[in-house]
Amino acid sequence: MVSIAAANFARFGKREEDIFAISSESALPIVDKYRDAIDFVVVSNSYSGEFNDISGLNNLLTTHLAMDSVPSMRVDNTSGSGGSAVLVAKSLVASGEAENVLVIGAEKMTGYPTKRSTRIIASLLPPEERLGGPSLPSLAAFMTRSYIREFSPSRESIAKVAVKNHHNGALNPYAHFQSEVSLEKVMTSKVIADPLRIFEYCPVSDGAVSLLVTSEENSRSFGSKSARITGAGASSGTSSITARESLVSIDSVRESARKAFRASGKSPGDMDIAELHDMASILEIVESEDVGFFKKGEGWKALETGETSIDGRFPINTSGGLNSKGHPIGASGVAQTAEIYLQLTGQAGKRQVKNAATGFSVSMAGFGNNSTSFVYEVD
Amino acid sequence: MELNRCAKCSEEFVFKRAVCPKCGSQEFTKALVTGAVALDSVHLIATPEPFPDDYSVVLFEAQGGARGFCRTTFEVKRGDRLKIKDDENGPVCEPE
Ligand SMILES: [Zn+2]
Repeated sequence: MVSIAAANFARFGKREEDIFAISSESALPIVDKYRDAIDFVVVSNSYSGEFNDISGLNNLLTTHLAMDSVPSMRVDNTSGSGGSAVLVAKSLVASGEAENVLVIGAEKMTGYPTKRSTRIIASLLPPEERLGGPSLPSLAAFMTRSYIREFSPSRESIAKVAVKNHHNGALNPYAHFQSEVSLEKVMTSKVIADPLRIFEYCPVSDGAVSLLVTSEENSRSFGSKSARITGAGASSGTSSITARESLVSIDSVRESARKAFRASGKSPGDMDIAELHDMASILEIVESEDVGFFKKGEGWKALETGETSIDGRFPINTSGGLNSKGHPIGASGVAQTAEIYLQLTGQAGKRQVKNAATGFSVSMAGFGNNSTSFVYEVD
Repeated sequence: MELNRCAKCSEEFVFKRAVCPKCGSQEFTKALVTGAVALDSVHLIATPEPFPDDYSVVLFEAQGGARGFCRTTFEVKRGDRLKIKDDENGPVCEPE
């Protein structure tokens, strides 16, 4: 069984350092301990070309870490790069191609005008659709409007995703935002794409996070605290957003979760915690339904009852989610796995969920163009 | 604004493809958008380059079923029939 044996963050946020410094800040505590054992490096990064004028980041990073002879690759799958990188690392270990894989998720994307970074992110849309002027945030607004028409949630319940996740982020020393936000403040903040407001979107962040992915046996022999990946599932949906039958459900999220649960032999109801891809508030709700935690059209009710709060029955996005922790694109999916690992091994500090033994994450590319889900367990 | 129409089954798409996902044909012709109706509209403040700073993105469905996006500075409501033309950045629309 493939396990996570270590995780380490470099603080997410607006960072002065370059992508090498941020990446090594996250990787060095792991490299220092396991240098001789690491036989593959997988770098999750999507936009080093566009934001940093760098190609071949994986080769440059291994050299930066004096791991010049360790084979490496860069995995780019837009916002879902992290989930794909963890899947690649898991497959390398499971196949015997590598024994101990260092996964580094990193992105350095601040410092550009919003209009430029919005353009860079929108480049993942089909060219002909892009000509009509949508941004990724505007797609979340279309989703919100469809969801409201179809299921009549309270508008506040959607905004409460931001309130909840900022609360969690304030407990996470690695989160971009370190402060709580009131419902009133969310609901009166600037509209970015009608009806969604600025606190309901993830910020533009720099950041990095590293993992050691290895076998259960190696993890035991290292004496590391470890969490097993007991199920994984990758799935794809059409990249043509306008061709989708429904905007209130994401096929790739649903299908990747179904595969991961089937592989693990567990069901959504068995999970203690989850990390979902909340690039916008509505996405946490829609995904919480698609992966099977709630019935379609009812996920918003959990925000009203507090069920998904950190002290609730089933905490979602204890890390603060993308919403508050930030969304350095290549780092985000790796960060989800890192958060579940820290929680399941009792290393989550002030945001620790007591007795969490099972967890789930879904890393989503584009606006659901594809997704990778994982189920994690500890004994 | 032009659509891509499958030469075999006449399915129409905004997204240009090498293979028709309905019938597998690899031959396409171009067709003009006609009879477009707004399905929804989102007023967008933070817009991407190279577009202007403030507009709404309209999700429309054309007569043959193809869906796409166009920009507008008009108030467009769900169900409005649209006139679509192209400016230097892409398709723009207004209510008919
Ligand atoms: Zn066809």
